[in-house]
Amino acid sequence: MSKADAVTYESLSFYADKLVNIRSGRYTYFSKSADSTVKVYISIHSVAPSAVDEPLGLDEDDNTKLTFLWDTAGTGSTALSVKTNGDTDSRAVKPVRILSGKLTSLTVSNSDAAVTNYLAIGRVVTSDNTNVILTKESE
Amino acid sequence: MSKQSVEIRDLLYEDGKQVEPFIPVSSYEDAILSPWNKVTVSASATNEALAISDLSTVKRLDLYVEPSDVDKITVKYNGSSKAYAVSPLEATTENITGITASNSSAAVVNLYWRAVYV
Repeated sequence: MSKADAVTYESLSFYADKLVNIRSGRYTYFSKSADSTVKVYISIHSVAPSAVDEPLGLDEDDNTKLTFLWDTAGTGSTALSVKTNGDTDSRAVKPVRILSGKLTSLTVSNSDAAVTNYLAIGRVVTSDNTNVILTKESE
Repeated sequence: MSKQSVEIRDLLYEDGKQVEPFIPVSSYEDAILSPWNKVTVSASATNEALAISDLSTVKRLDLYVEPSDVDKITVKYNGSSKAYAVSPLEATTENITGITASNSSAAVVNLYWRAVYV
């Protein structure tokens, strides 16, 4: 398949191994036209120790719907923070952050003075707003 | 409710295949997971305080709206002037001291939230 036709997100919550909380359901973006696409763009960026507001190269001409940010080290690392769309407020990535809406720029900082950390970015991007629909499955 | 080990697994799929690298499991020891709760955001509300309990101990807060309510709700955290969209969801791990919502539509919108407390 040369293009993605659907991107789906769901969040599952557990106590130990017991699934307890799936009320958020499952969101799916569908392309409903042969001319439209919905894709996940993944990139991984190394962030040097003590980096401050390091700009990351993103395609700025797109329709980003959701952005998933995560520290590839997973739970335990709290050193990465980001600023989006030229904001002055920074937002921690501990270890996962989910943002809605357009993403035109992203900078990253690493508060760890000794360790290089790695930020993964997954963006749900549509090519044509008029030909992509969002649905939700309930639990 | 007693505290337990809580895990949240964020799953992202493209054409039915989980995207790699996988989003890590968020694990919280000695935590309490709230159920999903509903709050209403008034029609045309501006910076309306949200009644989310025990914010001071929240380690992760998930918000979502129904697809029909996408692009209507924005939230601000901790008195910041910066508004973030909930279109359709948002997950934050900041230390949260306050949260407000604004509603660009002329109808009440249901906003759903879930918190991990430690």
